[in-house]
Amino acid sequence: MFNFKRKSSGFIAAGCILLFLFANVIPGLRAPSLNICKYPLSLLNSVRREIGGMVFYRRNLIENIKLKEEINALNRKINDFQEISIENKRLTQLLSFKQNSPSKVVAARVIAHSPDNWSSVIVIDKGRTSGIREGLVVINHLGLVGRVIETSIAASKVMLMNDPDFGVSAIDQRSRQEGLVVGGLGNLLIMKYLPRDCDIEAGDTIITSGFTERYPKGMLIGAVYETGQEFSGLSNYAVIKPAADLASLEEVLVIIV
Amino acid sequence: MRRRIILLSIILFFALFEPVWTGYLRVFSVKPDILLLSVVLTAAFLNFWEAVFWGMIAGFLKDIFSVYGIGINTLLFPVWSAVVVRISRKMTIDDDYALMAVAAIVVFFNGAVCRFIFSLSDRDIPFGVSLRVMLISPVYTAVLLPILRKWLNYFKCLESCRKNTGEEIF
Repeated sequence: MFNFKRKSSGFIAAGCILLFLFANVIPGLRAPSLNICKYPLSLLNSVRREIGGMVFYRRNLIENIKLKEEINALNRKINDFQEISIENKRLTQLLSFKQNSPSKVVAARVIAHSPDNWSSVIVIDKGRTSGIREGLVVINHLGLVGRVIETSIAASKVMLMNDPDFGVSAIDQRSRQEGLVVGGLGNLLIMKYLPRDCDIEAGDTIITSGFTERYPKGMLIGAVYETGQEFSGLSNYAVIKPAADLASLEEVLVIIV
Repeated sequence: MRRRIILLSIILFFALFEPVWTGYLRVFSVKPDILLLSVVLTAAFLNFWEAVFWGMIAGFLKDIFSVYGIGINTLLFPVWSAVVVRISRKMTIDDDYALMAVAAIVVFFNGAVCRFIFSLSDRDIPFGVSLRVMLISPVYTAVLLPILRKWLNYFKCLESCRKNTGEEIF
């Protein structure tokens, strides 16, 4: 009886092997046999990997550290490139504005801001050698920024629109209502001396009127944020949000007249 | 000589640091007055005439970047240095809290005097903005004093400022 079982199992095993070999010879049966082999092969492979991981642990650790350092270096490069890309976009906008601008302009970088809380001034890296003089108007691609108040050979001070000493005659682009835009040291500007029945609404665009010397007409100042009545009750005022972001200026253009 | 070089380095560093970096430290559009803070800190360790001299240097450096060409800071900073020296002789201001209180008072009065001078010179700053600057700036500046003091102590700057006569100011 035992002899019979041993014999029959031997025959079954030989039959399977023959079938397997036969299947790999016949193309139509190759794919199913490959599918069947996939799972034991995967199992053997993962066992091989685990054993390899234990045997080559130190080599893998060193390679891991090296790859991590490479990743960090590449990430740093990506960050640098992103910064360069953003600067490129900004400068391209500025350049295209400068090229399309009818006036002669000098581009300058902002190198310092006013150190105290009582003034709103920036220092730019161009001075008299670049043709900059006191009183010249400073803009950027978004709109009016301020005017030059002091110059030296290689640097100049620019008073921003939100400085209390700044003032420019302006009009509402829609209703042509005139007023005076002054700064108040905050992020917003005030348009003063508006009559009580003035036609100014939130969202209106405010531009220079051309009545102030050296400020060309039509230069964008900002948009009306809200309106109100003065404390005296005799006139109205409008709060203007400047078009240029005065808190984060990096490059400006000085109009050389 | 070494002490003077260290003092000059501290004041020059903060005079250049303020126009470039304090824009990032704004709270409610108010910046801390780091240069005045460094003047208060160093004045607490110096004798009278040295404090006045270095206060004047610091004030002059601040006026270089200012709009109002009157030289307000060149006149005011030595005054505050002298005041701090006098206070340090009357009472102990060694610990951080006392120095913070002194710094806050000095910054407040500095703001008040500036505001007064501007009102006389027709520089119209809205009352709300003035109040905001005069209230927030002293608190904000005083809060930075322990950090600044720790940083200067790390480089042993304040110890070098002590008088060489051996007499402790406080």
